[in-house]
Amino acid sequence: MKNKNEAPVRKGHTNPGYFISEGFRSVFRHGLMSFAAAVIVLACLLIGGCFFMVIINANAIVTGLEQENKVIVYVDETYTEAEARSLGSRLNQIENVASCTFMTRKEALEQWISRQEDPELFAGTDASALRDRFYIVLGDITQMDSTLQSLREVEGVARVSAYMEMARGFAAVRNVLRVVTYGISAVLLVISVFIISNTVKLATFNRREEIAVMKTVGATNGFIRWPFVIQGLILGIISAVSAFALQWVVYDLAEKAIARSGLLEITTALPFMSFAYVLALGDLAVGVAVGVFGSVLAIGKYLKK
Amino acid sequence: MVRFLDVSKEYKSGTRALNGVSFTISDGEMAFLVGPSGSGKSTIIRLINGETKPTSGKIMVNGYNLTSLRRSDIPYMRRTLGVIFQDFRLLEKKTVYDNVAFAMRVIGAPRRHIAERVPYALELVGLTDCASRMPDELSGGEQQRVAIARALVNSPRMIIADEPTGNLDPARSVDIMRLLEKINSLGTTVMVVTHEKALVDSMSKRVIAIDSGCIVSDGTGGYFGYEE
Repeated sequence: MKNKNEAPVRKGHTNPGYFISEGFRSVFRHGLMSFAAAVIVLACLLIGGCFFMVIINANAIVTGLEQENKVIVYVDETYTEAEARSLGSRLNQIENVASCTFMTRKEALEQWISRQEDPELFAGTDASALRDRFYIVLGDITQMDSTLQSLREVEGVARVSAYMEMARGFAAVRNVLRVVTYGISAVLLVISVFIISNTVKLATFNRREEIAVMKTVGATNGFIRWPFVIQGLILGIISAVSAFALQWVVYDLAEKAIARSGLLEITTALPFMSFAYVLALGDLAVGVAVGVFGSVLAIGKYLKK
Repeated sequence: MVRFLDVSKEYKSGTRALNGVSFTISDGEMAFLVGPSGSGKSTIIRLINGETKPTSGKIMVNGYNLTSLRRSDIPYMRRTLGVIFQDFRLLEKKTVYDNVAFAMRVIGAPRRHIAERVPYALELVGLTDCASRMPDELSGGEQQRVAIARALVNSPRMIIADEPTGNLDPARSVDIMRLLEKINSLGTTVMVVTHEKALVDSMSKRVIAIDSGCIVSDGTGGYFGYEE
């Protein structure tokens, strides 16, 4: 028989098709475990994404309020309408007040009732529960604090309400939310990596004999590692895409519910599309990173031998 | 070619497996490594395969200096070796053909090359007709032939057979030894680690005997050649 023995192949060719098909095969070979891992990573991404959407909206509200140069001045309720109206000239004289519009307590009540879903329910409500008010527009928002102080000092003014002050309150809530989000995201990330790592570890355990043969015949660590990395990658991408779709649905439902409730009278929720690409990229980046890192962590033990 | 120069190996547990071992197996040679359990035979195989490093001494395998070999180059060194085990280590869910082809796929061999080499390797071990069968449909001797085909298919310069007949009856054992001899006659260096005295005696090849981590005899002839 002819001796066909030749020098062995020195370098392996890269074979992406093989890696990808092995990666997919591994996902389906452990279907239930893969499904569980994808669902848990999805849940982590969904929670993280929801916090992100709340924060991005809180940010927009804070920014919007901070730029709002309107102030409402409520007149002491013991003042008659004529007395209240007469305060307008004094308010107009205050530096930085650009315009000053009076609204009676009756008009304010009518306006409030008209915004309700069923205005008839509030017919006959006594307007004396409210105060006459002035809507003031400031010339320079940077002088907000000193102008508010001057407005408060005017006799007959019961309360001054500025959007800027509301913005400060919102900002405090936003900052707390941000810290909570970072904390929760870190915990969820660790859980996700652990779950993916365990799923890939199960796959490597089931294929340990195959891996041993691969090492014996001279497969490189990269060659052995790639199918498992792709398995993690596939799980990460499936989770990211599903999470994004669910976040879209959740946001849409939340936006409609909030709009109906009138909770955001002072501002509106951001349209989903305005931050969708950031959210999609974030989901994908986290999904891919968690998948790849989890896989590398799982296969490391086998490659050291 | 395998060359051990004053090689010692001590494991972390303190067990001294090899003590100043020196020998050379030249290209194209066929040699048996014999010795009782715990004598250091497995350590020699692990050292040749790059699974562990010597505590001292120098090892050369097919042009690679294993003492200074980088971790990333170990797979390429292993491609110059074909290893056969007592328990065959075939993949149960793959056909005979796929078991052999697998060894080529995992080193990135092109499909055309695989299509040429696998039938050749199966023909060499006499299993052309069994290509589509599963390992559990084959006898022990046939399974070991598949393992030999898998070890051969990447054209290694050297075959290391670790107790290749340990799970076989005497008749099949002789067949396997004849097959290894045939492979050797085609130019591949062969090193066989075995306990089978009768087999070694019948082959009249070089026998390296090891005991307690030291080479106690190295010569051509039978298993107990060193006593003569």
